Amino acid sequence: MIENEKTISSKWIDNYADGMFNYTFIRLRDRETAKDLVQDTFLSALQNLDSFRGDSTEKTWLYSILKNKIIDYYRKKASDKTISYSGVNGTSNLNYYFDEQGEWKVSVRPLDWGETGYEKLHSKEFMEILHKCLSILTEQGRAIFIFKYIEEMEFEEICKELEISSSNYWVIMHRSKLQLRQCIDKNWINA
Amino acid sequence: MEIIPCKQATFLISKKEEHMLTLREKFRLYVHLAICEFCRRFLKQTKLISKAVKKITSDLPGKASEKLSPEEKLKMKELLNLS
Repeated sequence: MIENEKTISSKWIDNYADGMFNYTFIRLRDRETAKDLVQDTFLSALQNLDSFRGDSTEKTWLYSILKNKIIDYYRKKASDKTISYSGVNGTSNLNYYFDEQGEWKVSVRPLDWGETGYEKLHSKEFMEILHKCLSILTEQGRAIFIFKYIEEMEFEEICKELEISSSNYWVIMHRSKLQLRQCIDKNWINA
Repeated sequence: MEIIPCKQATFLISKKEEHMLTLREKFRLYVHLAICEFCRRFLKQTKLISKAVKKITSDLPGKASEKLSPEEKLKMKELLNLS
C-alpha cells in the first residue's frame, strides 16, 4: 500500500470511526458486527477512492457506503429464515396473542397506559425499555422497523431492499408491532 | 356485515399506515375500532411507539454514545494498512 493511502485511512479512523460505529451500533445492537461493518466501509472506500469525486463531503461519502453495508447486512439476515423465526410458541407467533376466533387472549390484551403512561413516553426509562424490546424482534422485524422509522425509507423501497413482497411486509410489520407493544406492556406498564 | 376479529383488525392497522386499505377494509376496520377498546389501544400505542423509535438514534440511553476503544482503532488501522 502506498504511504498516501495509509495516511488517509488513519485520518478517517481518527475522525469518523467513533461516529460511524455509534451510528451502526444503534441500528444493529451488536458491537462486533458494528465494528466489522465500519471496517468494511473503510476498506471499500480505500478500494474505491477513485470514485470519490468530491461531489459530497468525505464524511457523507463514507456514511453512504456504511448505510449500504447496513442494508446488505439486514438483507442477508432477513433472508435467513432459520434465524428469523424464534420458535413456534414465541411472541413472534400470532397464536401467542389471539385465540381460535382471532380475538385477543385475555392475558395479552393491550393494557391501558393511562395518561401518565403517555406523558412518560419520552423518559429515559421508556427509551431504555424500547431499546431492550427492539432487540427481541426477529431480524426481519427489526430491519423493517429501522428502515421505516429510523431511515425513513418508503414502504416500496424497503420491500425492494429486503426482497420481500408487500404482503410479507404487512405480515412482518403486524407481528413486530404486536411483539414490541406487548414487550412494553410487560416491562414498563406492568413492571 | 360481519365484524372482523382483532387478529385481522390489528393486521389492517399496519396496512392502513401505508394507505393501502381497500374501501371495504377501511370500513371493516372502522366498525371494529368503534366497538373494540383493545384494538383502539393497540392503534394508539403502536403509533406512539413508532414515533419513539424515530427518536432513538438521538437518544441512546445509559451512555452518551457507543465508542471504539483506542486498541480497537489501532487494530483497525493495522488491518487497513495490510490490505
